[in-house]
Amino acid sequence: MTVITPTAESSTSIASFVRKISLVQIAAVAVAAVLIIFGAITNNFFSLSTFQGILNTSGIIAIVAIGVTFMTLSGNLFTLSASVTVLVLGQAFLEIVHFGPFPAILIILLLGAIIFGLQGWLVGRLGANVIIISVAAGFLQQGVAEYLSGSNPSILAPAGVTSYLWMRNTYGGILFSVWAMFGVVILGELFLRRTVAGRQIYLVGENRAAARTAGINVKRITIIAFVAAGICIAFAATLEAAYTQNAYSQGSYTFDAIVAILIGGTSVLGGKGSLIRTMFGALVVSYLSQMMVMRGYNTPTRVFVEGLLLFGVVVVMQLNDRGRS
Amino acid sequence: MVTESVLRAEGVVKHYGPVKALQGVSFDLRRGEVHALLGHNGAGKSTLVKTLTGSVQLDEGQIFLDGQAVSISSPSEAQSNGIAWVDQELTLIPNLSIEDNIALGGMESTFLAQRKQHRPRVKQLLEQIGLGHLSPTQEVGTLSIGERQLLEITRAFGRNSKIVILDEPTATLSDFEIERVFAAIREVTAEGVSVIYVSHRLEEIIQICDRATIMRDGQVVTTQEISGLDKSALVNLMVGQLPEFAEVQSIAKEGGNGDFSITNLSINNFVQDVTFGAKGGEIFGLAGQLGSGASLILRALAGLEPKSSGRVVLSGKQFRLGSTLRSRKAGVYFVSNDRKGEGLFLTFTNSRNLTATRLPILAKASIISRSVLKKSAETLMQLAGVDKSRRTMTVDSLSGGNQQKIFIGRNLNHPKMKLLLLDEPTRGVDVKGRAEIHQLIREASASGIGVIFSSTELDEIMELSDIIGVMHKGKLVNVEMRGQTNAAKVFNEMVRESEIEGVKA
Repeated sequence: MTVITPTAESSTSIASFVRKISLVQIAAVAVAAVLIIFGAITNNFFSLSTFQGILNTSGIIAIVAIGVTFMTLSGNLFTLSASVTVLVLGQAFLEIVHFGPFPAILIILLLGAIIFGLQGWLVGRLGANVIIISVAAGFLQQGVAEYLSGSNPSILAPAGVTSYLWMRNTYGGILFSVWAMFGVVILGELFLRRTVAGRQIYLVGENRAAARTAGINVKRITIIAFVAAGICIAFAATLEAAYTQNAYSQGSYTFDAIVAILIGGTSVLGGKGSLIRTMFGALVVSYLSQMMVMRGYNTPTRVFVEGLLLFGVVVVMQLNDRGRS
Repeated sequence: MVTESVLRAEGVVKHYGPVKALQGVSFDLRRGEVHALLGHNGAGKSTLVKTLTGSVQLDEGQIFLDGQAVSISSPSEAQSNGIAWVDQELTLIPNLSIEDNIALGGMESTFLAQRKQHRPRVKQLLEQIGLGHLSPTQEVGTLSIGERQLLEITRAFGRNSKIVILDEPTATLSDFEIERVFAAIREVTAEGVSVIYVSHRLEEIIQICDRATIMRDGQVVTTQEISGLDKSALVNLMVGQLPEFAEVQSIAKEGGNGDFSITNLSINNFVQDVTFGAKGGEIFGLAGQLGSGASLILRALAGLEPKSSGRVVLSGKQFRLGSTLRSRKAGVYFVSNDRKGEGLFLTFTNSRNLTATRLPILAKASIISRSVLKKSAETLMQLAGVDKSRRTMTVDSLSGGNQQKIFIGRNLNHPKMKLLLLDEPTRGVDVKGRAEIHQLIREASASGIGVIFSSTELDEIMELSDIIGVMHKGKLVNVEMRGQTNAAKVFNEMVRESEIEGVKA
């Protein structure tokens, strides 16, 4: 299930192939085998509707996770306020959607870019710690949102406005958010592989000092990575608000995104990984929880198993990194 | 018994994938001898050392310690067998004290709890290597790189090891410090410790070693007594034949776009009022021992030293120091002496490393095509003299010399470059690689750009420079054309130790 995707450039020689058959591959095959076997012994699991379900529950999470992956690749770990931003921008979207869906989406994307761009500026320019900055930014956003909404925690969709409801429809049995996820992955990968800034994100993530000495504008690249994250998260916020028709719960996007990134196998240290990996990470999580729902496990058990999987991934990646160096 | 063998390796074979790093190597080390391990990069020295220290496992063959067959499966096992290894990479922990660093990884695990008791021993070790002026409680982070290297060496000697492996121990040391290392080596070998000495510096090997094992292409060419050999004999054994030095006359292009002048450059209150300049097409060599400020000058020009001031004019345009981006915009490209820390992207392919500095140039409207990248990387590999088939290999799979070629190569043929700065361009590189890198630098210079390099090695300064500037304790003490000075004079200006102390006394 966790497909090994090449990073920006794959290596083809036999030597490096042999060298790369590693713990990670073995673990990935093992996890895939377990998932398939348990799927097979779960009644009706391998059916079209199950897989539609898996996809349909992954779209928005995957888009958030893909956004955060830009930060991870640039060597800036994660944001701890993705959930808050999704909530706040979702509220904002519902407030302004009567202007028409496209202007509203554009404004929200711009807001997302600004919110994360500022955080990127603080991290890149002042060398602030990304974790602390993202927590502080989370509180700020929540404060501003509560002030503006008059401490009314739930904002409902405007009555009578239907122009944006195509965003919550299914097309071919698949939710719009899933098609959007594929679109984001394709655009994001093109950006990372084919543009100067995208390739520089990898270089900065791999070795910041070397990137600086090589004359790369590390601050600018840090901000660009954050802005890309902000745009993705803002987009996810519009999809979430359109789908649920309200915006009052934060959801667990922050941690779901981190889980998807780690399970996908993007290096926490930066420089290695891809958006496709993160997408598959999100799908694996979704597959796992769908399977456990169908096997009748309760929520605590599901969270526990997810935690176990994540733990295993972290251990395997750690051992693998050590083996390589 | 002088000829008693403490360590013997027989028929050692090691493959890395399809690459045969060692092809049936046999080697023996006698008690109390200093045994040189020689060969150019990729000859198999490092791999042999790694099998002896348990860092890599051998595929075939056997290692004997004191005649007993042993298998060394980890570095800690090597240590408990009395084998200590001082790697090229420093392994000290900067924010621990000297004494704690010496205790770290040592056998006596209770050492940390008994600092005071062991302090005399630590002092003695420091004295032995010429670091007597330091306090055992001083943090290692406050020491210079040379001092840290000395500390590594004395730590290895202090472990009651039977065998100490020194890998390029003097690469970062001044001549004075090297003498200290030699004295320490003589002291421990007199007590029966054996030393394996891996180095490219042939003079040192002739001076300190008893025997030499010369390796080429994963095999042992010969093991010989040093006393019958001189430098050129050693070189011949190492490379098979001497590389042809084409006599390169660099062409100074009047008014080339690499003309530069530096006026009243001061850095960190250490380098003071340094003024020099040269024309495009000339190679300016900054000679100086470690800590002389030569390296600082290059870093400041690259924009890496925030506390620097002075007037720098490149190709008729002045630019302000203190920012890597401003320096880059002015056309300054820098090859750091820290290839791994601030040079290469180690786990990325050669191709990605070579194109790292020129992505904006290769792009059209910020979009990069894969074929353009590939073509550029191939051209640069050819220029740098690294086999094109290695394009998609990661750069950390290359030998040190080839890594350095990739590092320099990514700055070659760069349309926006006006001044190339190289800090210790051939540190830790073998004779052949060094000649090739010098050739690269000469070719780059011949294109009309300005070149400044710094080196602590007199030979390199004399070989490569058109103009020689000598740095000593933060001051530029002399600038002369190479033709108007000689090695002895430059050396005296670099060292000046006795003279300064004489004035003080």
